[in-house]
Amino acid sequence: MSQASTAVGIDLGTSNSAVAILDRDGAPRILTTDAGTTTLPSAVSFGPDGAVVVGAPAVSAAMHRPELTVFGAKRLLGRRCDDPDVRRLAHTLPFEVVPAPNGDAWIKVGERTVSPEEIAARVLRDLRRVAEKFLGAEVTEAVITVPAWFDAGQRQATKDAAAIAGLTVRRLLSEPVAAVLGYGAHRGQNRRFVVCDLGGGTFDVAVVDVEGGVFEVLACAGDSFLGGDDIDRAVVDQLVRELRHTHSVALTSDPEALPRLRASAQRIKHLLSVGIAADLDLEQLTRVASGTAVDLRRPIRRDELELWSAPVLRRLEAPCREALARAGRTRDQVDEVLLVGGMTRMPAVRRRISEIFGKEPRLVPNPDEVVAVGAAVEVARLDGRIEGILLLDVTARGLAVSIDDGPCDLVIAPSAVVPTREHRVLATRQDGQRELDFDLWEGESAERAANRHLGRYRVSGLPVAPAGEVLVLVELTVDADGTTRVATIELIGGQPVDVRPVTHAGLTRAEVTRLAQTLLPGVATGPG
Amino acid sequence: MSGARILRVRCVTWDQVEAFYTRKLRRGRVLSMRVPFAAEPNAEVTLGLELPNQMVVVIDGTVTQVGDEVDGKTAVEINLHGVTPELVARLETLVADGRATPGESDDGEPTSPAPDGEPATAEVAMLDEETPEPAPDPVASLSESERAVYQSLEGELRRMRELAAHEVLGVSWGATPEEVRSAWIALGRRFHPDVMARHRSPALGRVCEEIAIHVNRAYDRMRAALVAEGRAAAVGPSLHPARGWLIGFDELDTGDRAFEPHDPPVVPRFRSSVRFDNHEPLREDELFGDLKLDTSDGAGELAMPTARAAPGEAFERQARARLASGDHAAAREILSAALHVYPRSGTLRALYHVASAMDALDGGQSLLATSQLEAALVQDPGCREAAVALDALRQREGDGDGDVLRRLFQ
Repeated sequence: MSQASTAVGIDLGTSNSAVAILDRDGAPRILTTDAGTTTLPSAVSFGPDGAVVVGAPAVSAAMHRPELTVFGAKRLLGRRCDDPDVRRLAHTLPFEVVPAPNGDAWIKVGERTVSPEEIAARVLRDLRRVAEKFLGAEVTEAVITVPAWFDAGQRQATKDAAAIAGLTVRRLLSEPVAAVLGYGAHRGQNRRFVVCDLGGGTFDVAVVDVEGGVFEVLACAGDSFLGGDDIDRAVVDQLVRELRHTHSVALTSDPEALPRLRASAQRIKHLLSVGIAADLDLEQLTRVASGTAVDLRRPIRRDELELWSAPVLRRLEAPCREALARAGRTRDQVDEVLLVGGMTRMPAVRRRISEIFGKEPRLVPNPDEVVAVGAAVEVARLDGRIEGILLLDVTARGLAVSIDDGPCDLVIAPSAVVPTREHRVLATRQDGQRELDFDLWEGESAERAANRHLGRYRVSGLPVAPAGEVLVLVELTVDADGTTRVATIELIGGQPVDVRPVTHAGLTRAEVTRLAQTLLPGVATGPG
Repeated sequence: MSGARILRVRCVTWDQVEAFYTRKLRRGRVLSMRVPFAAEPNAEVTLGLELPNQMVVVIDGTVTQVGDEVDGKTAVEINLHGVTPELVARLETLVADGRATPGESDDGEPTSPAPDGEPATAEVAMLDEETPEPAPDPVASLSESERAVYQSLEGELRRMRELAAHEVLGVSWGATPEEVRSAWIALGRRFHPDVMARHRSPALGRVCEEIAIHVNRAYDRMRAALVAEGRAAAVGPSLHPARGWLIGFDELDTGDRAFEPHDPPVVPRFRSSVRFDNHEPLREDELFGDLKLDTSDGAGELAMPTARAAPGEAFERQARARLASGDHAAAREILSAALHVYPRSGTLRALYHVASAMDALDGGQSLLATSQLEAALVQDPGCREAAVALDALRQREGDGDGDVLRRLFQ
């Protein structure tokens, strides 16, 4: 087991993460956490004494100190604080989302602010620890899955998180492709898949074509605010309503009771995926004004759950239709519907999706883990152990540059095949100008407001010349992971000139290194 | 292809330079090599001999023999008439000087001579298209077999840098979407960075990525052209023959009159204030009648052969109708839209320049008009209107007669 697999496949999910390897005989193996589960909740809790716990303990800690427990950090990863999605999300989160100095969305935990990258890194570090314990060797490399719609900033943030956790990313793999790989599509015949990934917090639909070992994501769509949590919330809301009617207690004002109720609701939801009915039994959930304890004991039937969650499930349809429309396909042209994510265990979800696509969805035996398995297959492929697969990926959004107050000039088109590279030539505007600033944007619009600012770069050390006579070639490269590199060349002298980011979305290299150093000693002492 | 082909032969050691003029040249001036393009006999070739000290010695020559094509490379024999005794003497002094100052020759570049003692004759790149090199890679850490892979990949990259998009993919300019796609996938299987990932070598990864970038850009450009022409549909990275939902523009106006140009309000725009005749709604035969050079004898030759099913004929007809009615700006807009659909049509492009010229004349900018007309003739040397108008414009500078111009599309 020495050099065979020091790389692992990691599914870094919004709610749950998993790590998998491929055995020497090619069989996938999901590694179990210390808690004995195959998935690790992507939650990090900061104790008042400075102790940090990750995973299941963090979830239970959320009951006592919700404001110090961060979950769903993936939705903030690589985003700006003024992003509409982030603003919308921030209202629903028990912890506070604050802007970082460069405008990124960070999280305020007690006295300190932490970046989403650091949260993700702590989860990754735990997964790494799990893998090292199993393999008995140091794990330094990983294939990490990201949603297909992740843009350059989000992908870079994922890479930074891995770097903080001491992992080198061999490849960022898009989740629908990972799911299809994990399902074993590369061994089957040519098919067109629709991957429906309904997890704890997000719903992603992707149309993936597999043809002769060539995988391509034709289109994807999704709802980043639709997931199992919404169903839990629907159940909790219903129970809170019932308690108000029967006992006249306002449970929403009881910070102790609500997390307990939410945890039970989730458990009931899981039970009802298999059984027809389950019993809810919460002793002394809360107290009425007189001080008498109120117990919540009630059987919940599956049809009740489905009734309560119906409004949530109705929202599944729009993204599915959108994905098909973007792919220019009808539902009859889909060969397989693949269900991924723990929430697809729920019979009502399966039924809804089979109605939408008009065919029985394919049930993956391990919907929670299939993405991580796909990442492990990708590791084997990169090692040359599996051949004949070609994964084709395109840029999620375009890249544009602008100079001074000018409009954004699209350099790399959206859905260009990666890796790719394009360039633009910028000219100085003043006599004797020694430095040239330009902005890098993500988006297709000429309007700055419609695009996301990735950074401002300064080219310095230009030769002294009249205005317009110094030309700088700005070269944007998008690599196979979908992350971006910037290079500049001064065209007249042909010298590569110095280019530095002035402001930059995401973490700087120095921050990554510093965080890695503060986090890494923990790894050394971690696996006992 | 205008002008001489430029071949660059890179010699990384002075030994190779010496071997070039002592052993490689037969009869003192005949060189055999394999070039990655289809060469014709008697074609002019300029050979740039790149010396280890970055100097380039330029030698002129002519292709004398062309052999068979193998793996996209053609064996040719080049008579380098530029190899004079003076040149050889100069090379000799350069070699002597270069050897006297060792250490300059090898800087990061893999200098191990290619197998069979053959100098790097296959390393051909256009002199005029120097793509900036990334910083030298740590090639030194490569194993022997990996180094061979690296060198072949680098050769491939150099070859690709000089090629047009369709040549990179190895398909013809007018290839079908299926051909383009399968060629791209075949290249992807060979050169995607993932293929070399198992070597875990940054150098191999880098060169593979560079090749993949070239291949992908070529694919993106071919794809964009095919989609713009309405021959294909693309979703994500895919490329499919256009089915159903893309309708070729020419299909729209066969048989019915739905696409006939509406009778445009005739606005005299010409500065000379000469009114054009008002037009009846145009009928198809009239439109083609417009094309006749001389209608008096009824057997005039057509400026545009109607027998050819030209791409964008409907656009052209509309544009000509607008031009005839004097609405030059509208004609230009139609043609600009047409060029989005048929980006390769020389006829439409020429007509676009003519329309721009007429528009410029409306604004009194005869210099701009002249340059536009010249551009039209470059796009389509057979463009009668451009030729006539250009002649008239040049004459007008003498006598001020704008009649020919006005009658151009009547």
